Amino acid sequence: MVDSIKRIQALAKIIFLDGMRRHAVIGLVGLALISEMFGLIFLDFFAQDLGRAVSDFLFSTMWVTGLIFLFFHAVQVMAWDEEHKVIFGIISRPISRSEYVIGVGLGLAMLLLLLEAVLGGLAFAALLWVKSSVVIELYFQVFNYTHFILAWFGLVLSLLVVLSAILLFSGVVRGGFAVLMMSISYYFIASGLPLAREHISTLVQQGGANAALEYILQGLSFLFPDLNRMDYKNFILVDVLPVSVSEISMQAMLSAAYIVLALSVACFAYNKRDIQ
Amino acid sequence: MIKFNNVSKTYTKQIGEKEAFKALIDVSFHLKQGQALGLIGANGAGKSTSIRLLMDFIRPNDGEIFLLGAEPERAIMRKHIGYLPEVTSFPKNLTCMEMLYFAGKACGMQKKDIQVQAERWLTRLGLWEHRNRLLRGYSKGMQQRASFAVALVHNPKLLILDEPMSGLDPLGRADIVSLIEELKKEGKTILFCSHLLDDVERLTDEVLILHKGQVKYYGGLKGVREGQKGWRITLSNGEVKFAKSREDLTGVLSELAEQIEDIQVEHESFEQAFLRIVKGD
Repeated sequence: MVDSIKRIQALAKIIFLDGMRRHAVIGLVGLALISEMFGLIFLDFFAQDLGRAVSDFLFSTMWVTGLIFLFFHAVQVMAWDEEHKVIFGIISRPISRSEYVIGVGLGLAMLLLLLEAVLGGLAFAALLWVKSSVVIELYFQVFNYTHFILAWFGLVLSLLVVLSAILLFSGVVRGGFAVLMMSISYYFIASGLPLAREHISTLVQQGGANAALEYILQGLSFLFPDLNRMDYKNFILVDVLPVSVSEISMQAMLSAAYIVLALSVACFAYNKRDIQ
Repeated sequence: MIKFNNVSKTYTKQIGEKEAFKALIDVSFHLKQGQALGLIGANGAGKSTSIRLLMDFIRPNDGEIFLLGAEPERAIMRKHIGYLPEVTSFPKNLTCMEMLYFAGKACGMQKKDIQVQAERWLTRLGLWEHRNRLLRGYSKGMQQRASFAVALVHNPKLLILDEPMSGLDPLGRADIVSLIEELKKEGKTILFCSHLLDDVERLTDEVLILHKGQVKYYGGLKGVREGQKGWRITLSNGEVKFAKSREDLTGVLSELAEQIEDIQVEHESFEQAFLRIVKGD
């Protein structure tokens, strides 16, 4: 077990280093930082609810940057390894295929965490700066540091759920484009499903739709989790959490279980595949 | 060290293909400790498939494979294997040292040992000064040598070399040939896959000739060639005659005795033997 962890760590390290030096990733971080800074200029146009506008903008930037990282870098890591035969140099070591999938996942998760930590740090500083520069306190009354960390944690966990789905697709199908298409479809379904469920539920109550459809959509939500459930950015501006800690913990545990399950299926599928 | 018993591999049918491709059909061979086996054949003969099966990149449809006494699925056995892939490719944004650290760590080596081994092999392969350069800046030959260093850093017992000379200039090739000779003298077991017959003849004890997925010859190097092929007779006017049998030779000698300038015994070259075996005549 210890040896296995060491091998996974060694692999995660090269995935991390390789990603850190990719021009596209460096460019993305630069762009996100500029975007966060640039956005602050626009905030001069807001008056009421300035805190909400700033935090919404900053967290949206972090979310979009994370998604771009996942859809433009993470989707092609395993596919690139296979297409360019890099995989042979890796799994010719005593690294099992499961360790490979987990190692790649860990490396990408580390990159994602670093990316979001940098952006999160800047977002935190930006919020502090905006709050301190507000003359009329009414415009930005509360900035709760703990809730900021919670919101950041929720955002990262949601992105990790998407990453686990990407790894699952990478383990099942061959080719970066196929993985990208599946991942984007996954994201859109996961984003749209809660709305569809709500709509169908209303229709069922009114007798306009079959209850079976509601059950099907409910079942689908296990495969395509609601990514907004961990969106806590609105809590940054309140003193008291509107939801209980146990509810937040439950969401976090469900997300973690989903990640573990997706990785397990990815490992299983990758173990069965011929690598050519 | 390696047991390949009646192994068959058929690749699943792809879109646009009329039938599934049989890459290996009932192939068997063994490789004992300290031996060097050359795996040769034309393109598509099944050489790379055999190696990929050994490394567990792909799985056989039929037959058994044992690597160091265990099934290739047991990843931990690869701790004792140094594998040089046919196509050298690394994550391009790593330095050679980082790749060596990864290779060593994956095999359970300590950082200090990796450092010592890395210095040994990178110096031997002429890459020590370039150790901290990103691999994407390496030439093809340098990448091939770096790949060798990665294969050797953990001091493996068994070396599986898939086309080790590809991408090397004549000097680099000569250097790698002498390196493989050194490794052979050290007692390493070597499975050597190449289509460069001169190198196979020089570096291996036994050969396995594959053709269209089937074994055409498996045995010692000496047995590949047929014995004496005949005699080459050069006449004083420059004309060259061949005598395939003793009767032919006696006939030429009695007929042209005064004109004979030189007689040489003709042997089959390794290349001629390979072509004869593959073509089946």
